[in-house]
Amino acid sequence: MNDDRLNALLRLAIEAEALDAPAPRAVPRARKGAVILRRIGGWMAVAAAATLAFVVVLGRVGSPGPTPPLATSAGPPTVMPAPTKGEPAMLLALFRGADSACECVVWREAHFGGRAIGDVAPSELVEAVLKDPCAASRGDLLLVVGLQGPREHLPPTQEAARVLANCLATGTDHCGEDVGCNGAGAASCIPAGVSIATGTLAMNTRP
Amino acid sequence: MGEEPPNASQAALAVMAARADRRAFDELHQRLSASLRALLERRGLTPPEAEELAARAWAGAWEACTRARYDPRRAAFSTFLFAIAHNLWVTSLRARPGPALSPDLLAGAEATAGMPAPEAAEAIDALRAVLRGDLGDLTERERLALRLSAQGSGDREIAERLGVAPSTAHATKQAAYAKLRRVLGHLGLGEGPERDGRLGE
Repeated sequence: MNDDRLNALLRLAIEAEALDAPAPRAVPRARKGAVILRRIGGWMAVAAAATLAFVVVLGRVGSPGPTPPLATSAGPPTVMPAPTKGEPAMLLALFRGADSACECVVWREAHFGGRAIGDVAPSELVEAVLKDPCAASRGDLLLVVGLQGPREHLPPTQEAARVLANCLATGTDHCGEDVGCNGAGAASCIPAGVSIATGTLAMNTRP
Repeated sequence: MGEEPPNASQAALAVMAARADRRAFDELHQRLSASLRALLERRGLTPPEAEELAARAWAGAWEACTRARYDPRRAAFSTFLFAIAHNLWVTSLRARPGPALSPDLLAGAEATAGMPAPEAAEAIDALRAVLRGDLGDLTERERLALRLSAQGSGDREIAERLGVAPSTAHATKQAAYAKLRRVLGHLGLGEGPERDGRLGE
């Protein structure tokens, strides 16, 4: 880890200190507590509404609604690059059994004609994985996560990908085909700067 | 639950929240939500945008707690929440390209490259402990040099604060970096996400 990255991490550490600083409570306790529960519940409700049984579904994660305004300090501005055609897209697929246990994990580069992962059709995302030997007989439920970002942000080895897969599996093992639930569960697993799209398929309903 | 959450320390609440104790989680939300929103606003988000991103971070944190993916022994809850929010913020920048980032913000965005939130939180929490003097064998001058450097001071400004020559300030800073690397190395946090596979094992 070079000096610049250490320095940037230190800056984050200093920034994080502010979280523990006392802050005024503007909202009464009971009401505020209800707000967070409602929010979390709201996520799940939205997720449930998005679920389609027996069909391939696709959810976009990593594309929050608001557009953050930037460039707040002096100095030459630098543009944060968007996912581009040149960046690798990787597929991480988890084939899960009836008890949500991971039966088989696929991690490989994917080529979608140079398109950004967000432009790939749901059927393409899942179809690409269904060609894998893993899909032959393993699992009841398939979770496919397409990831795209700078290569240094993506898991560099199969072993690193398995770590990510384990995190995803643990975080989403209650979600079934619920796209929103899978997205929320993946929130703390996905490395910063990586855009993802998730797709699910109930394998036991395949024709 | 023996202790009422409102009277508990944040560390105690984190332990309870990590076991999916909703009362403890709500109390943490009470204590940290305003600070998180303020922090995100300082990064340039409007209040509604900060509210939205913070809500997503809280949802992610709750999911992590319910799935036993937050370990309070590895990072304070506030740091874990911060790491989730930071990663969401970085991803949002990439999802909505166009606006320019200052070098400082860009460096911050790249700082946790390749790190899932639990790992980023552990690294950031270790650095917080170092800056407090709770971890590592850094001298007070070295910690001050690190803090000043992270806040953008050059060797000359650090030298003025320390009352030494710029070359000495530079050496102090470098010695501090070396100690930091050792601290992170001992925690297995220096070499990227592939280092040991423990996050999901």
